[in-house]
Amino acid sequence: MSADRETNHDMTNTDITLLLAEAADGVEIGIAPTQAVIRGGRRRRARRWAVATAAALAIVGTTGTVALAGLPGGGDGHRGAPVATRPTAAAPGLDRPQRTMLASGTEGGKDWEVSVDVWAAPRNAAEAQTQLAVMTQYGEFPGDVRNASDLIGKSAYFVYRSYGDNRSVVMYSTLPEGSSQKHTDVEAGSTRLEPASGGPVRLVIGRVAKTAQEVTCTWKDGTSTKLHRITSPNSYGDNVLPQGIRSADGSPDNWFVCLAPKSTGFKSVFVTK
Amino acid sequence: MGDRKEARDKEFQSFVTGRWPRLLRTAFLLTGEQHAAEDLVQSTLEQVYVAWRRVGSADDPEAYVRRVMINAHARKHRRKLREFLAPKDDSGLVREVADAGDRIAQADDRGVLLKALAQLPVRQREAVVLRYWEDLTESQTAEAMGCSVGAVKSNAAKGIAKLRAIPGLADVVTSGGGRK
Repeated sequence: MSADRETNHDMTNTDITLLLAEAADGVEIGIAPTQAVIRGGRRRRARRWAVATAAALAIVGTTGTVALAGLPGGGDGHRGAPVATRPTAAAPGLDRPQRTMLASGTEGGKDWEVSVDVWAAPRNAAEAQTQLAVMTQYGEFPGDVRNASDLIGKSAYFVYRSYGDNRSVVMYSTLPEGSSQKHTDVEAGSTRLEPASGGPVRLVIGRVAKTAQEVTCTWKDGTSTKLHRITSPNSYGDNVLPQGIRSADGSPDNWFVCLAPKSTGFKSVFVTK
Repeated sequence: MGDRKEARDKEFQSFVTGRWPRLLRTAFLLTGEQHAAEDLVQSTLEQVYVAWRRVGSADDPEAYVRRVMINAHARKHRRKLREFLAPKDDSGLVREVADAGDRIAQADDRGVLLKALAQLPVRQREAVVLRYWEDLTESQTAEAMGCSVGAVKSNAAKGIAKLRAIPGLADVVTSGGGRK
């Protein structure tokens, strides 16, 4: 039976495609409620800012307590850098984020992964307005932004942790365009791999200078994990993207993800080379 | 200015009219219930309307719409709102071997598949529906789901494996799921 399944994989998937098509036919189509949709859309547009603010507060609540508490950096105290002159073409990351997978694996029968979305710095109010509208659609909203114009000259990043079906933002920040980590700077956050568990805080995510060669995560039981730069293209072996230091599209820094052994939790992290 | 706005509204209306059937079918497979599907598509299109000026002129507005719909679906799950899934009774699992074209048998097949889909974790369900119903590539599916291609592969494979393991569905597949 299982051998048949394996060898007839494509054929049986075709059968499932046909079954899906048949099942989809079970819905009554009716007339598209275009007027109701437009009315609803206008209401949403009118409420957009109120909704966006509420979304921002929700994210602040999550990241503030889970991932960013006590972290250095995060954009506080910085003012937007003067907007540099750039070519007129829309920069990558301006109207949609540049996404990079940072690490992934499987634990307890569930897949987990960490990824980062990086948004380029808008150059003017129109670009900022557009970007904020798209960010909101993505469910991404920087907590320190009150008006779209606050985004001008700042790039933004949002780090996601997925565990099984649960996917949420665990870190975010806006950064003046052109700023980057230097020497042994580390900005990192730690959180649980399993969102709803009461277990130890094992997942460490951070960004370091492009020059950093080695990051050492030390765990509460005294052991440590050393991460090195990975320069080869991302490849997935058994859906596992190894932990290491890697670049992220659109980011001036390199990123790392470090997962503690099951029985222990995060203590500290440093750039060690 | 007003004319341009009116033209955009008309363009949006024709987009909605044209895409409504397909979107509703996809939403039906995701939610398993008529009203939940209609709600999902309607709220998706309302969000699309807000950004229509930009979306309408994009290369691939469909990709944006899918992304919004999958986000809305996932959000609904995260909030643990009750989702009305496939019919709850088990009677559909016991079927006679039916003649081709038998509408009762077709309805049974739908029930079996919807019930099987409903048993999948939401990300696996999304991956299966997008890959095998929407016929998206792995990278398009990853874009819609906001995850990696690796995660799509994994979720789709696990979803398909679980569907095959469900006795009612295995029977349907064995007896020729593509009944017309």
